[in-house]
Amino acid sequence: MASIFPVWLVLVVVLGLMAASWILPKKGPNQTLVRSSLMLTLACCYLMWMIAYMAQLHPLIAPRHNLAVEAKE
Amino acid sequence: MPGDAVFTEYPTLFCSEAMILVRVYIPTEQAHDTVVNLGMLRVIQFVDLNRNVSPFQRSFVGELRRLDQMKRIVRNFASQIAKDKGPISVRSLGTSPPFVITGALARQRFDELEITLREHDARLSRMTTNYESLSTRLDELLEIRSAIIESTVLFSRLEIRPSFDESSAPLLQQDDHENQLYPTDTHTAVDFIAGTIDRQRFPTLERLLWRLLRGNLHIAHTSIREPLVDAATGQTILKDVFIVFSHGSGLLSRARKATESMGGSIVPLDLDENKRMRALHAINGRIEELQAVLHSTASTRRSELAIIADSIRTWEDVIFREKLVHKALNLFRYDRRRKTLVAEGWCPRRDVSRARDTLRAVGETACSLVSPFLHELVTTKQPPTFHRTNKFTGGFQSIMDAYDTASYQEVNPGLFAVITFPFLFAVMFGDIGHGVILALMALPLVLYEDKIAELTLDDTVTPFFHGRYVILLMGIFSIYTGFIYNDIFSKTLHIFSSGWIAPSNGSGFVELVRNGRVYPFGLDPAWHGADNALVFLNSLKMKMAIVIGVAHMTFALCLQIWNHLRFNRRTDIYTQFLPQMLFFQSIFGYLCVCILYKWSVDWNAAGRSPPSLLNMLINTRFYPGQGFVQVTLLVIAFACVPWMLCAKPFLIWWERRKVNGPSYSVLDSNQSHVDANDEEEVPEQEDSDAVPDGVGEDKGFDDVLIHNAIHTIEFCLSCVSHTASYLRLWALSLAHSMLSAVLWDLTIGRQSVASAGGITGTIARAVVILGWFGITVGGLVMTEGLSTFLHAMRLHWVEANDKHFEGRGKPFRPFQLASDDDDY
Repeated sequence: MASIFPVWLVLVVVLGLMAASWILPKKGPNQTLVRSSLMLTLACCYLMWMIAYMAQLHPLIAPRHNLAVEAKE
Repeated sequence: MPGDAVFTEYPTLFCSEAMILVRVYIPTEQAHDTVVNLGMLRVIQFVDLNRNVSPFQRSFVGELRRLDQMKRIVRNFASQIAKDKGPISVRSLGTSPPFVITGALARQRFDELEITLREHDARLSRMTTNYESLSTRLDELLEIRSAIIESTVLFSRLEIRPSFDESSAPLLQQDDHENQLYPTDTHTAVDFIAGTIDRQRFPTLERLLWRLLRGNLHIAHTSIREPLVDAATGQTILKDVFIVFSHGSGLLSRARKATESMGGSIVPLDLDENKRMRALHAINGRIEELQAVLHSTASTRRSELAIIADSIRTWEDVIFREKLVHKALNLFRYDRRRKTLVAEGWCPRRDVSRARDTLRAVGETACSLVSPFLHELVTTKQPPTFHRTNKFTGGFQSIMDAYDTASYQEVNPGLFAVITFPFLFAVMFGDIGHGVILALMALPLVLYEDKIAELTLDDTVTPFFHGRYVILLMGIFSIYTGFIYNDIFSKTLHIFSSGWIAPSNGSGFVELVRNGRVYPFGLDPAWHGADNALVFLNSLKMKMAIVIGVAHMTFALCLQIWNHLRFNRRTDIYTQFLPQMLFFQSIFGYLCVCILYKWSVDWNAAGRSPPSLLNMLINTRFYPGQGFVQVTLLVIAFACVPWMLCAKPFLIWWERRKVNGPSYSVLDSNQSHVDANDEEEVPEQEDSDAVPDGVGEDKGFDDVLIHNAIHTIEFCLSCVSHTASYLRLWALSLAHSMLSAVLWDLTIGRQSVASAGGITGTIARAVVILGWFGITVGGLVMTEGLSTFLHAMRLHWVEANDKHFEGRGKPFRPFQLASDDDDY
């Protein structure tokens, strides 16, 4: 089930949220601030999640554990 | 130009507020109150209209001098209060009754204040001098008393010694009560002088006297036990009392002079014991009297100081505010014709109506027909930059302002730093536990900010309080990145099911096997404790750093567009922005695309060996058409360099040819500013404190070429160096997680701690946990946090700002009656 589909799905969701955060904030002294902060937050959080997810889609190495030691813990 | 600034309906942090140059005409008698009210409003930054006048020739110099004298008196009071032996409580400004400096009676009240201060000063200095002279007198008496007491020992000692010389005058054994032995008495037996001297100087004095009197003396001394205050130096030292016996008034006067030159003092002693006792009694009586007088003087002085201490903060505040007001008044110009003071200053357009209302109110309070009024001017001068911040954005804006103030109407990087700064911090700091600690440290500062703001804070704590929202956001983002890195105090969370399972046939060292799932949020916990965890993690974090870095720099590059549009440099979008973007993306954007592509392909399933990104540019192919694509991108990148280098100078040369063709000279862009309604033109104030026009195009063509060449080279090289600089996101996060892991392993993770049994084991574990927590907070959160804060700041100041920031503005410092710094 290691597919790249979630990346696109979440991207669409995030883009939708970004559009909402552009439209929704009311006119006022904080409109620019709220807009830019929400959009940047969404973009940054998505970017980081996406990188972590994609790096583990098709990993080139596997974790190596010492089962004997870990069984004792 | 300030005239066509972006004036938005609501204040925004995106760029500076629109500022106007205003001129205020103030009737002279209302000047003081106007300035005070404008100072409380804090919307105008006054321009110095008297730049050519020296400070000593300005109109309000007399007032300032008077204020300085009052300030000197009050400072003297403060030091006297501080020096006094007992603590005198000073009433704080908050609890003192307010001293109003505006209004009809203000002048009179201020003059009364000056008189009061002078009276207090005179009284206090009188009392102080009295006290000091009485103190000196007391010390002298104490010295004489000690000398009398100790000399008894000397005289008694001398009486035991037998006499060797019978032909000489009778010695002391002769109990000659009737003879008063004074130094001037020549017919009596043995003359002497007595005195006291610093113990350390006594040997020198002895030697001096021997030499001076050629051995015709007998000197005896003993030490005074209590330390005495030396009259000359004022210090408490140990003294000796001595007696010098010799013949003749000549020798004795020589001895007396020698003593005085060595800093000793002569004490009148009587040979007769009873007379000495009587003298002692008399001195004791005088000492007691003197002490009583001193005591009452001291207490009167103290009560005087207490009265002063009750009002001293008010006085300091009044004098400080008046000084500010008069310094501002000195900036104004006096219009003799109309008998008004003229002030000029910068004011945000949004606040002009408030200023007008205030001025009208001043006029009404003064019950005058004429009130001060405000006039907007049209000018080409560069206004100061004003970003209207609130308590939340203030911290972030000050971080970016510390580098440079944004040019007037330039894109303000502080707006975006509200999110990017905590985010980049968190990428380097990612740990759920540490993030929670950081957020919890900032939370009380935020929740109780009203109460804390009233306290006067220490200088080391103030930055943390001003940056409380920054720290809070840093903590919250760190919690998020902690979930991504799956790191909580160097342990992992198993929220979802892992994508790896142990192979069925393994024991000892095994490689886990995929089970088809991908850990949906963050790093798979199967990596925790794996031998090769770092191999995977380093690869992940390095690539993450590059991708985030390229994204941040692309974003910063795009901010240029607004600046080019705003400052009427449309062509710069094609000659600067476009080649820069193409160059950057064709190399590093391509790199990021390749990173993401390599991640998205299942190499094992495709049966191909995964290509190394390092070698990608050199030989291997990992997608069809790669060769063609890469060559094209390289060509684009190379083409951008001459594009950046030459396009802009060429355009400028082309335009100048068109303008200079008909042999006109380029118009001078610094015109004198003209009143909107007024016909008369105000003579240009040369080099006022406003910044020259933003871009400054009237340099020679060679300058433009050189400037562009430097800019091109700088950009191309910095592409590489800045991208590599973002690798600190990886480096610091690695260091942080390693430190955290080591700390755990050395404290709580130790076998001996974890498995110790019984009560002692529990206590030991508790102690170790406390120690671990202390080091976590002090070392990992605070120290690592500060270091990470610095790195995140650097990334914003250098890597991001380099792509768009011009930073040639001056900050807006409105006139206010509070202090910016502690210069009182």
